[in-house]
Amino acid sequence: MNQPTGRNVVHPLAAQYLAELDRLLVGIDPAVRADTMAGVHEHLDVATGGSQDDARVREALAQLGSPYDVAAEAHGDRIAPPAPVPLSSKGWLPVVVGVLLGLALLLVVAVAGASASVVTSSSTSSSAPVAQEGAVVPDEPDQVQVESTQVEFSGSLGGTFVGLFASLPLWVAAFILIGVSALWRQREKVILFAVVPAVALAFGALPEIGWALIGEKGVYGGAWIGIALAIAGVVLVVRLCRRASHRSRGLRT
Amino acid sequence: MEPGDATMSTMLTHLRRGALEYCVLSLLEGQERYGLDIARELSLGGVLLSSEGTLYPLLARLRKAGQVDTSWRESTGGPPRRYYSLTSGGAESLHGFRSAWKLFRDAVDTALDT
Repeated sequence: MNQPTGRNVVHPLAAQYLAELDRLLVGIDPAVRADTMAGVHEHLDVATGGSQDDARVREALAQLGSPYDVAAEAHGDRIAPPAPVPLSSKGWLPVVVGVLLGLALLLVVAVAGASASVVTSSSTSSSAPVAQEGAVVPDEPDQVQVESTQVEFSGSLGGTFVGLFASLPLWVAAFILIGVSALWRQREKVILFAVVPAVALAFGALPEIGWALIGEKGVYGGAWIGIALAIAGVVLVVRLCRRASHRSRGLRT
Repeated sequence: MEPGDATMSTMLTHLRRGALEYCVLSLLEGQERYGLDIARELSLGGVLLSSEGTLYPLLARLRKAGQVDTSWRESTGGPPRRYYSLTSGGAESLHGFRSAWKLFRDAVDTALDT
């Protein structure tokens, strides 16, 4: 029997439960195993009404009983082996992801900030007036002093790419951990993936835009907004990682 | 059952074996039901089913043995649900169990009362 499409998005805790159960059903007749998994999956869908609310999912999981009880029923008299929490849901994972993304953000901001500069230079030039024909040329002709101030901005966008490249190992490692973990929802994963490139782009582009629009003040304004966005990015990463830690603790209870 | 009474819990686990699947078949007699519906019905009182999830390996075995069949039905406001129904083989098994259970129950009652 084919399973119809259109299932709800699976909550990370439910996904974790199903993955554990599937692992504990190794050795069971394939048809019975597939039917058991499909039945439990649907039970969760119906019991939660497709809700992604943590409390509702926890309640539905509690009523299902532990995956070991379900697997023990499937195995008959044989007792299912105890299984540790899989690597992808360990409590240290969100901490490591948080540190990696935090360091990547710091590196991008530091490199982009260091490579961009506003240079103010003054130059003085003098020119002698052209002597008129027949006029008495004085011994020391008057000179016209011209002073000019030039402000130059060497862009921040190039530095941002250098920063992104320098922090590549950090965020690629974080991306892999986020990708394999069941502790974040799909939407949260997208945010975690996007936060470093988004902050880098903002930090690189905003001073450039400021420079193009209003000059030197625009550079500083853009840089400050960039720093504020970087801080907001760090806060976002911390919140999502704390939420994942909370879910990881929930799996162990 | 007293909560936390491990001995009682173990006894009920033993007693359920061999009887629970016929309770499931009996619930399907004359009407199709979906998994959660069967689980909630059997969980009432906490005697026949202690954890709802343990129903599904049992249903899977019954289906493999040809005692129940499944079909998908549309539900209002959600994905389609898998409905379980009794096959003719399942109905025969249930009929046989009813007779056997009466004999068994009477014998146990007699033994316990003496």
